[in-house]
Amino acid sequence: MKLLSLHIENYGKISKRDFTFNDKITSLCEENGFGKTTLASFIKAMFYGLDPYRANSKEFSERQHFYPFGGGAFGGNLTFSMNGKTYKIERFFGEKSDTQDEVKVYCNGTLTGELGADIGKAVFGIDRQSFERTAYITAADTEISSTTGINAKLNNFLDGTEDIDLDRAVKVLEAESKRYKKSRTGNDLITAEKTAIEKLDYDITNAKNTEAALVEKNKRYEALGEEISALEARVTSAQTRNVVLRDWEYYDKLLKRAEEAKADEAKLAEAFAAGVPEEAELAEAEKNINLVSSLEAEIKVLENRAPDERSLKLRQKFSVRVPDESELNAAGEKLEAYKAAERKYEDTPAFVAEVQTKLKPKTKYAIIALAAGVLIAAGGVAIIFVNTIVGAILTVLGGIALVAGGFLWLDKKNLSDSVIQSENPEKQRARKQADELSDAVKAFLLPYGYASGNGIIFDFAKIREDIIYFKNILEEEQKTAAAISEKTAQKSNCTRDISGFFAKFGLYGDNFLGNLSRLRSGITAYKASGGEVSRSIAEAEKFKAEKNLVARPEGSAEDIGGLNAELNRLRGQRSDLYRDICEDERTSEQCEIFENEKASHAEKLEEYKKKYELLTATAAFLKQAEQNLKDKYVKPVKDEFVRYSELIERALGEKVEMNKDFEISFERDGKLRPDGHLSAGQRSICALCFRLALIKNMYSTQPPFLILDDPFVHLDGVHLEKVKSVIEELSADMQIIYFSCHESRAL
Amino acid sequence: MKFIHCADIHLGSRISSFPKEISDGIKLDLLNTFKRIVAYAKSNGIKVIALSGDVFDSDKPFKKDKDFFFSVVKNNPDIDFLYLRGNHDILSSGEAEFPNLKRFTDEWTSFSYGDAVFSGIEMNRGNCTSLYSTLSLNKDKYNIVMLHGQTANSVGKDMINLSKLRGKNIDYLALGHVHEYSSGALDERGVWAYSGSLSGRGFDEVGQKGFIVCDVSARTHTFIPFAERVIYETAVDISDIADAYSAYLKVKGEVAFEKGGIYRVNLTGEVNFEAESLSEDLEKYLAHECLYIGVKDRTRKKIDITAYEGDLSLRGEFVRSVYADGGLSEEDKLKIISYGLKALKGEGL
Repeated sequence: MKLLSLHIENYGKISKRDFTFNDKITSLCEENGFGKTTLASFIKAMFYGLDPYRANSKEFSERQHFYPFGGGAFGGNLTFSMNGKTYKIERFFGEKSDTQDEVKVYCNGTLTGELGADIGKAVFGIDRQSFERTAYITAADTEISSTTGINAKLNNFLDGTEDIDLDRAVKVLEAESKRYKKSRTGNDLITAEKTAIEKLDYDITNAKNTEAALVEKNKRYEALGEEISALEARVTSAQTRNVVLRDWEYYDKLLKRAEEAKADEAKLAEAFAAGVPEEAELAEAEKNINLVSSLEAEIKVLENRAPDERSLKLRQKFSVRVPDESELNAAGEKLEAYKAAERKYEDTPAFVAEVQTKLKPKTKYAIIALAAGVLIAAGGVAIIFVNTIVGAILTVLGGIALVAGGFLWLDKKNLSDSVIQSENPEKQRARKQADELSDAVKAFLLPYGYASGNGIIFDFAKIREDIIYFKNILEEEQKTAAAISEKTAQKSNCTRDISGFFAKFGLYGDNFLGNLSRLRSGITAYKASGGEVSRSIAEAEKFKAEKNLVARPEGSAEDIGGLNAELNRLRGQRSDLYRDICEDERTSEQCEIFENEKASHAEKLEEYKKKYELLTATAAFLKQAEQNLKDKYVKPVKDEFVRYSELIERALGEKVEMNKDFEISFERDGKLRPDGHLSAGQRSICALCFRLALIKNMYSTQPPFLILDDPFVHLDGVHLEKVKSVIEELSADMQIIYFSCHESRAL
Repeated sequence: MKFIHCADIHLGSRISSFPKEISDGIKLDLLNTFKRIVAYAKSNGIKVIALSGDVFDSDKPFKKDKDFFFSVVKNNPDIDFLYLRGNHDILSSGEAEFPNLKRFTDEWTSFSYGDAVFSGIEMNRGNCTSLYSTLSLNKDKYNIVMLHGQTANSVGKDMINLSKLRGKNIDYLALGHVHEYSSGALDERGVWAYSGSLSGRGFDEVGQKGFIVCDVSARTHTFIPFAERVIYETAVDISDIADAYSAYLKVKGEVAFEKGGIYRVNLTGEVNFEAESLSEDLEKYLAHECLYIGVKDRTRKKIDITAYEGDLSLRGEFVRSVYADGGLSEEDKLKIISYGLKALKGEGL
């Protein structure tokens, strides 16, 4: 196709201008600000239209950019030839929306719809973006570095953007894929989900096992319930049976009581074979029993009467014998004689002259000897009752001591008297008589222990009084013995009578009151025994009827305590099992949670797997797309470039080659060198040729015109001239619209 | 006389699809709803509750569920519970016996309440074809027949052939097995009805659930919505919505949320914005509108494939080659294209 002409009604700052294009090269040398970009945009807009203005768009849209500054119709027309036909596109745009856009296409002057709504695509076979990237070439586009890789070269060229980087994209995808699945470490989302699911599977299995075990536990629970019910029934039955057995037992007891009553009745009849004693007899017996008791008490009192101390002493004194009355009288007479002798002695003057009596030192020895004699003699008398020999010896010794004391005493007087007086003989005789009499009396008194030291008169009075007292005691004892004897005889008689009485009723022994009681009970029982047997039998039969005792259960009473213990054991087991079941049910219910969690994890796993699958597929598709592009463009582009290489060789004087990676090299001095050794201008030409080669392969239908926006600013005058010839040759294949802003670079 | 017809309580059922707290709540509802039915019966003077099968979810129900059910029966002796076992609990043991618990067997069994006679049979392989011919009803009575199974045109286990029950003097055919309420005419005399389940247990049991109150005298039956929580599932097309918040507004505008409701919203249509976390975002935005909401993003990324038809770049080649792949689903193609374009732009995925 060839652009023929265009008319800009209003577009950006260009208004009402017409441009006509040559078949090959149309060179426009205009100063900066002329509107080359506006013209290029207009051409594109004629084929592809303008995007509607979007208020929220951050980009400054072309519709907004090129809306005429001065207003008026926004658009124009463009005429081109294609396939031998001349087409004219008329487009006018609304300010913002494409709904107000108007487009008309004429073919050979006739309105036509053969190019459809997307005119650019129908003409060039590519979309607007691709057209933008290929038809408009600036100086920057011809500075393709030799080091740029084929992917970047191709992609950047095709895509028109600088940020397309397949390697980076693949890395992004692979990094994201690894987040889901790593080949080695397993530290990824899919493995984590699988691990979680595996754990949950175990949890579920355990919960299900627990649930499965519940069947048996429930059976056991039910079985225990049945066992308990059976045992409860057995306990109830046993209790009932035991009650019946107890009733039978009581019934037996009643019968036994009747039997016993019958036996008792017979025994009583036998006991009272001699007749039942009258109450008077019983009263008499009781009276006698009381009498016996009374006599026993009295005898005991008499037997237990204790002698007083004096009588005990007298009993000791008169243990050998009690002096009889004649001896006492004889001693009394001697005592009277003694008294008379003493009186005579007293009445008889002892001395012729008055004498002075002087106490001598021996006096106190006499007193000590007398006292010792009294004490020893008294002790001897006392000991006689215990040990006769020792007592007698002591008594004798006491007597000797007394005698010695007496001598000392008497010796003292004599010495005094003898010293100061002359004795009266009469008096001495009286003395002698008195002493003799005194000795006689003492001889009487001494065997009975009467030597008190108070004198024989006192002692004699004492012995006489003691004898009287002692005789009275003896007389009293005799009376007591007689009384005991009498009461004993009376008691014996009574006892015999009582025993005889009780013996008649088969009661023996000396427990008379007990016998009497038994006798009375026996009498009462005997009297009552007539109805007891029949009463007991009647009671037994009544009880039997009341309790409905028909058949006596076999065996003995059951051990209810044992059964209850077993019942409690089973109930405890059941209770434990109940808790166990509840716990297991709670555990089993966890299965639902585990399954929900598993489903959630499984869902995530599938999601992750899917995402992984899609990510890897995406990377594969991208790589494949790149391969497709290579397959599609590399060889044709290379071939096309080779076609241009001769042209370049002529222009640059260097033989240029391109490999499969679009790397350019040139031959210098027989060696291939990388394009880095080329000058910038030379590289610009290579780049232009490369681009042309690409463009020619990209367009499936009509090769487009090419707008060159002052691309050779880097070339010197020599090279520029050579390039001009190259451009002219290139224009044979492709219509070129060449803009420059300086005459030096104008074609 | 009035009686309640309900079925498919599924005590002890496992609840999936929900977080634990919601699952626990639904399980609790199953128990509570049954209790509330009994309370409803009491307050409305209803003396008979006909249970048309699947009281328990399993032949081996948990002890606590059995204890609960039988305890409710035991403690409400003034109400008769006519208990027909269904396919889920047909083998469950019936150790509990109470005067007010009337059980059915694999032979026709009847219980009379004045003129109303309840007849039922627990279906098995041995009686599933013969039960039609062995059914004999007194035409002068109001006959309620209880069965558990799916209505079908043939006969077999768990199948109920309505045509074979016509002309059998049935006034009300109390059915269980189908979890959604439905009813229809059986013949000139009678009607059939599924009471549906008492509570929804998942997104496969959406909508109102409850029981049927039948008035024998008036020959009417009325469905009573009774579930404490209703489960809903709905689709909302969010094509051309620009962002997650706009999608939220669209969903809120289209779905009349109930505070106690459980919802699943399926987002459909083609969207033209990056919506990787759309589901999570909407779940957060809508969380306060109801008891529970799950949002499923089933939208497709809007990609104009035709825009790449004339694109000669790697991008165009990539899009075209993906689109041309016959082994990929449309959804996968769109995702691959989306990932590829993002990667080419150097954007994160």
